[in-house]
Amino acid sequence: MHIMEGFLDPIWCAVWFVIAIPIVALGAKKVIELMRDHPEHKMTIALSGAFIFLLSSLKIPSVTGSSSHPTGTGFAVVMYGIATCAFLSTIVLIFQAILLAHGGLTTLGANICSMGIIGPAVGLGVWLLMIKAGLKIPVALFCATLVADLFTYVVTSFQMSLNFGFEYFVDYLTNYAVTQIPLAIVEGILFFMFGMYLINNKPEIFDIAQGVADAKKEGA
Amino acid sequence: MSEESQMDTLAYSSRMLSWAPLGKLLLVIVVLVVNILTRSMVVPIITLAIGLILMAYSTNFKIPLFIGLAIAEGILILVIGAGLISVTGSDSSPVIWETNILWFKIHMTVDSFNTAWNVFLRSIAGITVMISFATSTPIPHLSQALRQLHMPREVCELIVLIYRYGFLLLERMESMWNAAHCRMGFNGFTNKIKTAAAIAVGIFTSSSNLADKAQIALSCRNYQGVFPVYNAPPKVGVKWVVLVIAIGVIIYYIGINTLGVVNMAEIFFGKDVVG
Repeated sequence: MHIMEGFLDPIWCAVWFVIAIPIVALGAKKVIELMRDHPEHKMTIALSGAFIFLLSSLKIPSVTGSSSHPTGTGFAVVMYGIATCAFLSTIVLIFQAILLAHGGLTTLGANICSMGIIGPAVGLGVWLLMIKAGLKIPVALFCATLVADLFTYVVTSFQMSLNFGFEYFVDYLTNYAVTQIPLAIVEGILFFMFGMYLINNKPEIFDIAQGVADAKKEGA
Repeated sequence: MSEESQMDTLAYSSRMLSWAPLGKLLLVIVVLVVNILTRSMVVPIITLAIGLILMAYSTNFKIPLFIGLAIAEGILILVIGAGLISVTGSDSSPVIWETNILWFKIHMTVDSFNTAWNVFLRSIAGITVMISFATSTPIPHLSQALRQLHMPREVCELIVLIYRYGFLLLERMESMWNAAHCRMGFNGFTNKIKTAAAIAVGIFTSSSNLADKAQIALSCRNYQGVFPVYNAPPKVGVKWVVLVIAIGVIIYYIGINTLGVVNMAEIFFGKDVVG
């Protein structure tokens, strides 16, 4: 869920940029260090960004009859952490804004905060809790993606209501809920199946996922 | 022709290709910022005109189909967003329309109606300006322009790689999507989700394989982290900066002097309703 170009007043555009920039810069620093120390990982990082771009182009059916697209950041945050996810999301959001007219450049800070930072951060929290509790990866992935998606939409509604009047927060929530809650559930199911396929075919992928190594150590 | 090739062909054949990429980027950012600085309805109309003129000059409005569809979807989203703003007015302004639909209270006021139109016009104007930039600036040119701003080399490199491989994966996904469609993979809701998940996994797996292959292929070509542009575009100069600042100041000046000149509520509902 993106806030389109022109929707936010300058003051809120600035506020969200100020919040987003340090985290994106931290992510950029991490990625740059990784690329300098391990140039062989360069393509993997690039393909991860391309994968987020692709997932946001993947039309999935929504129960309201329409179709929408996943954010893809729930999976990215689980694999690479918040800062890297925020940095990769920033590049993808810029491409989406200038190439696909989804989002905008003045609203980029707000979109990074909702889709690249806060939503995924809450999703990551859920993921870590579930992995620590010993739940299976597909179940944890389902919950993390669902929560990340839901919080992205909650934060977007919050950002919109801060701009247009906080008394409308509930109105924005309830109206966008019609499409966003089914979409979050569908995205959760999609990533549950995604997790199932990966566990069966390429389980080593999750070795680098956040918290998995610690959970394995504790289990051993 | 692939989607990425269509975009590249469009950008490389643009009449604005020889303009400094950083100058164009600066122009877009300044116009977009000024577009939201005042609440005058005239400013987004001017911005829209600038965007349309640039698009017409750059590409004669030739836009690849998939981008056209994405823009149409974007416009649909912003119509819904602007519609929502128009029906959530405050009590401080004359009411145009008030009713209840299910749980939702519709409270359209003169202010909320005008704000919705303002936001809608700002958005449409912003889209045209951004698309005119995208269709006239190849991504390698943008990457080089960012180097001028002392952006780290790795970030510029990553931008080009994500762009290139994003479209490559998109093409692969399209093939898988069509294949699944031919096998009735989208027959019913459960099948749709299963197929979408299988495609996502297929793309993810092939993307990691592709990463390995691309790494080797680029190393074999002595790839040093830079995609060279042999026909380099001009660098941004003082003229560009002065021109962009002048455009920004003029639009802003027009904006603060035309506040309330265009009143959409009055145009649509007449002076009696607006009061």
